[in-house]
Amino acid sequence: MTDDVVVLGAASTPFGEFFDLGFADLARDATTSALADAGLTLDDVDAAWLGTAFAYTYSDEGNAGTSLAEPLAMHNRPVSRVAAYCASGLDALRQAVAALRGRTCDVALVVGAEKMRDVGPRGSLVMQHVDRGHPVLSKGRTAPGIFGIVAERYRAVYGEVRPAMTAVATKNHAFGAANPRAHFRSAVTGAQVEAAPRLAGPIGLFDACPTTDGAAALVLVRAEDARGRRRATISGIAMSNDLGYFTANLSARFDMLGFESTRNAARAAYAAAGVSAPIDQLDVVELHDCFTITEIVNYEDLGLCGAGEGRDLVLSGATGPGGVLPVNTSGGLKACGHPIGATGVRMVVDVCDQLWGRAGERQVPGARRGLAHALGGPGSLACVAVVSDPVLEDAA
Amino acid sequence: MPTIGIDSVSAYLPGYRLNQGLAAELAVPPELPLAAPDEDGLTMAWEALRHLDVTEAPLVLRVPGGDLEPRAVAAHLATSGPLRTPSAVLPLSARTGATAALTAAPGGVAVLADHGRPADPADPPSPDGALALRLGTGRAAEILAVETLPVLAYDRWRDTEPTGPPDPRFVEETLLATDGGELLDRLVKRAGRTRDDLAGVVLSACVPVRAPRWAARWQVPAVWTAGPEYAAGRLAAATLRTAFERLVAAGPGSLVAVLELGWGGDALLLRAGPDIAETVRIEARASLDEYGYRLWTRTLSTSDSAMWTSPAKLRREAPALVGLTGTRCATCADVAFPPRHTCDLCGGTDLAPTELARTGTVVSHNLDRLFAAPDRDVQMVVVDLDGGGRFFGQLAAGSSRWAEVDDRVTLALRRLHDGGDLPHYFWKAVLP
Repeated sequence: MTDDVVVLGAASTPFGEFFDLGFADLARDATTSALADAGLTLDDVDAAWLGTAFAYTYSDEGNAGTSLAEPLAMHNRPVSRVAAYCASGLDALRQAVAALRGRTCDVALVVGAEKMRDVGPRGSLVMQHVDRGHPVLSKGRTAPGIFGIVAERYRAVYGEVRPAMTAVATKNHAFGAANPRAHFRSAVTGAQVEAAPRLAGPIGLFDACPTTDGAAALVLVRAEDARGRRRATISGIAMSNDLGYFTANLSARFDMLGFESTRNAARAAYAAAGVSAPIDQLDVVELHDCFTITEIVNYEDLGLCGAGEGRDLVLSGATGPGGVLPVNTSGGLKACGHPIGATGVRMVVDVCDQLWGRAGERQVPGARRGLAHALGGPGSLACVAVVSDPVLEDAA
Repeated sequence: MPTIGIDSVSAYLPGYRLNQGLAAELAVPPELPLAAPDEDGLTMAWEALRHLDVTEAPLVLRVPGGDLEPRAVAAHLATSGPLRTPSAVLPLSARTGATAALTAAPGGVAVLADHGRPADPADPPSPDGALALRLGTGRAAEILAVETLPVLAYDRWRDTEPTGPPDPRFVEETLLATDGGELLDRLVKRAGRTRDDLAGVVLSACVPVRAPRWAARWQVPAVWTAGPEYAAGRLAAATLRTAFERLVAAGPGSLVAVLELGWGGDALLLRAGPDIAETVRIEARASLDEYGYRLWTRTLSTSDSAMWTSPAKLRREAPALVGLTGTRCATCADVAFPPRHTCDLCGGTDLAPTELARTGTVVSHNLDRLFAAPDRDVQMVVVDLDGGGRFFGQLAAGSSRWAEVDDRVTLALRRLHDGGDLPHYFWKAVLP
C-alpha cells in the first residue's frame, strides 16, 4: 500500500539505573543509534515526537518537545511531546504514523524517554499518587493496588491465579537474563517469586516491574521511500480511551478482569493489519506486563486466548521460549524495566529486532509479524501496534 | 423550670482500646474508648446522628479539645448530606458541658462529640465518642432540673495561686466537700427531691475521682465516672452517655444526677422515661488493640503534610463526594459516582443527582502495603452499592478483619488526611 509506514531504524539505550545520565543524555543516545541504524542523519528528519509521561516530576526535564529538540539542536522543525501515561511511547508512534500517512512529513523520528531513578524522596510513583493525586479519590490508590484489584477479582471469578503469575515472572526474568539491554539480568525461581514481600493483594515484589531509566527511538518513512531497504511495516496501530484515570475503579463498566481499552485497540489494529487469529498469525508479542497479573489478562484482551484462559496459556509454556507464541522475549517490563514514556517505543524496537533477526539467543526463528501493546493510566487507555515483515505485506 | 423531654438517644463509641500495659503506663482505665486514626469529632458525630433519622438541621456542640474550629465544623457539615447543614455550631465554654447539650436545642436535635488529641503520646488520653439526642416529649428521659455554680473554691484557689501546679488533694477536698455537695443539694432541692431519691451521680471532675469516697461523702448509692477526670468540660458526650447507660440499667422513673466540677460547676437531674430501654442506642465498635492509637498520636497530623489541596476544589467537589451523591441517567438508569456530565454507559446527557445507598457488596479488593497511612496496611475495596453505583475506597481503620469478595459492607464517613492544613473527609467501607 502506498501509505504504508515503515520503520527504517530502531534502537534503544540499555535500561537500568543510570546516575551518570540525564533525560537529555538518554534521549540523544537513543536517537543517535536509531538514525545510524536507519543510515540517516538528523538533518534528514523533518518532524519528531517525544513520548514521555510525567513531565517535571521525575526530573527537571521533559516538559515539552523542547526537551528532545534542545539536546539534538533540532531547530526549525516541529517536535511534539505526547503524554498518554504508560502508553506515551506507542501513542507518539501513532502520531508519527498519522503524519507520514497524511504527508505532513517525510522522515519522522519517534523517541520515548523517561528518567525515573534519581528523584527526590517524594518523587516515586507511589508518592506521586499520595501527594499530587486527587485529594480524596486517589487516597490509597497505588499502581500495584489497581492491579491487585484485578488479581483479586480474577481469582474470585476464575480461581487461583498465583501459579500463573509466578510463571509470568520466571518466564520474563529468564528472557531478560539473555537481553543485554534489560534492567534485571538474572533468572528467578518460582520459590523466589512467591517468597517475595507482598505489595498489594497477591502482587509481590517479583510480580512488579521496576522503575527504570531508559530511552528508545524509531526512524520512520513511507514505504514508497524505503524500497529495497531493510524495514518493518507498521501494518496496524490503534489507540483506545476507556476509563477515567482516578475513577476507573468507580466505573461499573470495568469488569476488573481485563481492560476494554486493550480489547478495542487490538480489534482496530488487527482489522487494519488483517489479523483474524492472533495466536496463529503473530510470531512474537511484546505486551504490557507492568505486573504479572497484567500479562495474564492482556493475553485474553489481545485475543491470544479466551476469557479465563490466560492462566493456562502461560502455564502451558505457549508464551515461553520455543512456545507457539513467545511473549516478551525482551524480558518485558518485568525484566527490562519500565521507563514509562520509553516502554512503547522499546517494544517496537524489540519486535523489529526479532523481524530483522538480531535478537540473539532470544531470537524467534522466522519471526515475520509481531505485536506491541502498552496499557496506560491503569486501564484508562491502551495502544496496540502490529509490526510486520514487508514480505508479508507484499504477499498480502 | 419546666422539664425538658428527650425522645431518643444515640451514642457512638469508637473501637480502639489500650492494652493493660499501656493503660497502666498512661494511668487510664483499659476500657477507655479511643477514636481510630481516621475518626474525629465530625465523623463520630455522623455515626451518632445516623441512627436518629435526622431530617432537620441539628445543633452541633463543639467540645473543647477537638482539632476542628467551629467554622470548619460548619463548613464540613454543610457539605455532608447525612449531617445536614447545622442550625448552629456552638463552642462549649469551659463552664458548660453536658448541661448545655440538653438545654440548648429545644424541640430539635443536638449532637456533641468528644475527641481529644494528646499533644504528646506520653500524655494520657481522654475517652472519645459522640452522642446525639432528639428532644421531645420525654419517652427516653426528662431533665427535671439544671443548676450551676459559676465559681468554685477551686477556681478561687487557682486565681490566687497562679504559679505552681494545683494541689490535687486540696482541689479534691474542696470539690468533694464544699462545691460538689452544695451543687448536688441545690439540684435535688430545685426538683423537689432529696439525695435519697437518686440511683446515683455521674461525675466529671478536674481531679481523679475516688468513687466510693465521693459516694460515702455525699450519701448517695453510687458515683460513676465517664473517664479520666482531669478534663471536666471536655467529656460532654461521655458524661451524658454514662448517665443514659445508668438510667437504662435503673429502669423507668429512676433518677440520676450529672455533675461537672472544675472551672465552674454544672449539674442536671435526669429521670428515666417510660421507653428508656428502647430509645437509647449505644453503638460500640468491637475492641481493638492500641497500635493505631500510638500511630495516631504520633503521625496523623504530619503524615500528609506535603500534599497541597485547593480549598476551591474541595468546595466544588465535597458536596458530591462527602454527600455521597452521584448521577442517574434518565435514558438507561445507570448510576455513576462521582457525578458525570455524560452517561458512561449510553452517552446520555440527561443526568440527575441521586444519593447513593450506603450499603453494598464487595466485588474486589487489595491489601495495599505501599500506601502511606497512619493505620496498618490499607485495604482498598470496590463495592457495588445497593441500588446502583460503584464505590472504591479504603476499608475503615479499626476493622477486625480484612474484607473478602461478596462481603456485605456499610459506608461510613471518615477523615482521610490533612492536606494543606485542611481536613479531608471521604467514605470508607465498614464490615458488620
